[in-house]
Order: sequence, then structure tokens, then C-alpha cells
Amino acid sequence: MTGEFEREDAEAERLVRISFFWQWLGLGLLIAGQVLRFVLPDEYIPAECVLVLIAVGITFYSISKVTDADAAAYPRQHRDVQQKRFRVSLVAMLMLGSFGAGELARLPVPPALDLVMLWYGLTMLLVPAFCFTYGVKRDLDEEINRILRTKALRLGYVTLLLVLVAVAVVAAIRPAALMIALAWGLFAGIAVPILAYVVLDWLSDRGETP
Amino acid sequence: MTSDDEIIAKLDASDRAVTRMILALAGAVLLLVAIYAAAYFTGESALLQSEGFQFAIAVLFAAGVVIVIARFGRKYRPDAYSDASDPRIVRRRIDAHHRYWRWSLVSGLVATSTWGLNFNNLVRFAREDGGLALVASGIMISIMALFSVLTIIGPGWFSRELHAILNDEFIRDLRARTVRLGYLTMMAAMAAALLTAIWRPDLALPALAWAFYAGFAIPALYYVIADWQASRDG
Repeated sequence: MTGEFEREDAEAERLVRISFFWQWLGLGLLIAGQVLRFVLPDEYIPAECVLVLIAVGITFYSISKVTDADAAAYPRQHRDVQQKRFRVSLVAMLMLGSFGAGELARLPVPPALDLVMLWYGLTMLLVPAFCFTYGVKRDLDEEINRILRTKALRLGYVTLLLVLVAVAVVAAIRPAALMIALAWGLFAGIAVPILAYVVLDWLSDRGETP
Repeated sequence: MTSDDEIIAKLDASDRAVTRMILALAGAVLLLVAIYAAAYFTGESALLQSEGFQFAIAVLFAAGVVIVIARFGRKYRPDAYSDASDPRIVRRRIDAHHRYWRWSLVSGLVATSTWGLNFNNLVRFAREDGGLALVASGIMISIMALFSVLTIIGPGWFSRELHAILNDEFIRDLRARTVRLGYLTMMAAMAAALLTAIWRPDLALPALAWAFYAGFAIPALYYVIADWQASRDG
């Protein structure tokens, strides 16, 4: 019996490792793209866009590394992987959203991209099952997760309220800065609840795998 | 010695009297708005400016307030409220507290409904004159933010009695749904305000004001209707 459990743990560890290597690589590239965006001059924007696209591709590739057979063989570990992956995906979406928000004041296309990204992050926070498959719904729509999401959304609502007050103050004092305040306010409205969810989920520490 | 049943009957009658007073006053305000709208759309807007017309309206409104208070005020019993927060009474009047809270939200909806119309002027005055107008718009924004927070977090932090009553599993679940809808509304309203600011910068301020109002009104209405539909009143 003991040997069987050890084998199962080893297999689960392999599952987690191959899943998270690519996931963290994608996230690292996204963060690198963000840092470069603020450091390099504007001529490098196409190169940064390519970097971000590669990062998104790697993130999707990492999802396909864990097969349905793995999920069926190790349901417990698979659920844990899904929950951790959801956290990483949310941070990745946040990075993409801020990539658009930084460009908002200048071009017509990035605002649209930004809104799409924010909307995507929003639906993930509201109903993660909406974005993925039935397996994700099964793994992510449990009681604790739902409570954490509610807490995060409550914080998000209060954040948006404060943002609206701040935007009204900006409108009264410096009307020229109204649009950029709205753009960053909208981004704060998604960033704060997502970070709150990630931190709360990480603190609740349901991890059973290494 | 008054029995519990008598106290509860008094409190219920008192609550009904308050509800009817609110309804009557809201009806009077609606009538006033209808009169003004009729005068405006029939081209008699000069009439609205005349002192005689405004005096007549003021007298009519004051008379209405006096009549309403005289008609329903007799049923309003402040003395009954001294026992209202006693646990043995509270336990039997939970539904009344839920009803009271629903009415508070609806009253807030009515009270803040002219917000979207006033906001633009307030911000313009604040920009031109500063001072008093800035204070006035600050007060309006604070009231709106207070109502929104009361809707989303609940009135529990407002009074210990409400915290004890409006805090069961059902209402927490209802409030979680309200939070979800409220966040979605707020996000959509802010995105709409942003798009308005991009394409029609002159309409940015009204859009902002309506984003404020929608962020409060839609979740509040959802909560009121869902709580009323749950029908715990018997």
C-alpha cells in the first residue's frame, strides 16, 4: 500500500512540474514585456507585442500539457493544479490588461484590446467555468472558491466606487486628465479584486500537492 | 402592563403609517414633476418663472405635507419604539425589519433619482465658482457612495439591531448575488463612460453621473425585488 501511495505522489509531482514550468515561463515573459514597455522607447512597441503574443501562446501550450488521462488518473492533484493555474492565469490577464491600459491614451486599437482583456478577466472572476470546460467548472466552482470570489468582488465594487469619486474630483479640478483617470480607474477596478482573490486563495492554502 | 401582541400591533401600525406618509409625499413630488413637465412641454415655461405660480405651488405642497401628517401621523407611535429593540420583540418582527430595509433602499432610489440631472451643473459650478458648489457636489457624492456601500455591504455596520437581524444565511447569499450584479454593472457603466469620453467628450460628465446612479440603482433594485420575491412576509 505504501509503495502505491509513493508512486502516486511521484506521478502527481511530475504532473505539477510539467504544468507549471511552461505556465511560469509564460508569466515571466509577460512581466518582462511589461518592464520593457516602461523602460524602452516607443519604437520597440511591435517587438514587445510579439513578446506578449509568444507569452500567451506558451500559456495556452502549458494548459494542453496536462491531458484528460492525467486528470482522470489523479483527480485530487488535478483539482489542485487547476486552482493554482487559475491564480496564475488571473495574474497573466492582469498583465495583458495593464499592457492595454498603458497604451490607452494614444491609439484606437489598444483601448479595444484593453476592454476585451478586462472583460475576459472579469468573466473569469465572475464565473471561471464560463471561460473553460466542464472540468474547470467542476474544479473551480466549489464553496470556498465562490466565497473568495464574492469577497474579491465586494472589494472590487468598493474600489470602483472610490475610483468614481476620484474621477469626479479629477473632472472638477483637471478636466483634461479625465480620460486617463477613467482608463486607469477601470484597470484598478479589475486589478484590485483579482489581486485580492489571488492572495486570499493562496492564503487559504488548500494545496495538497508539493 | 402592555402585552407583547399589543406592542407588536402598535409597531406594525406605526410602520404602516410611515410607509403611507412616504408614499403620499413621493406621490406629491411626482405630481409636482408632472405639473412642471406639462408646463414645459406646452410652451408655458414663462409661467414656471412667475412668483405667483411658485408661491401657489409652495402653499399647495406645504398644505399637502400638513394633511399627510395629520392623516397618518396619528397612527405613528414613537412610544412603541422603546420596546422595539428588545430581543423578544425583535424575534417576532424580523420580517418587519426586512420590509423596513427594502423601503429604505427604495426611498434612497427615489431621493437620488435627480442626481444624474444635477451632477453636470454641479461640476460646472464647481469649476467656475468653487467654494460652496464644490461642497454641495461633495455632499451629493458622499450620499450616493453611502447608499451604494449600504446596498453592497449591508446595513449591519449602521446599527447593532440591524446587524443581528439582516445577517442570516439567506440574506448573505442574496447580498453575494447583489454584489456580483453590482460589480458587473459598475464595470459596464465605467467602460461605457470611458467609451463616451473617447467619442463624445462633452457627454463625459453626464455619463459619469449615470454610472454612479446605475452602480447603486441596479443592484439595489435587484436586491429589493429578489428579497420581496422570496416572500418571507407570509
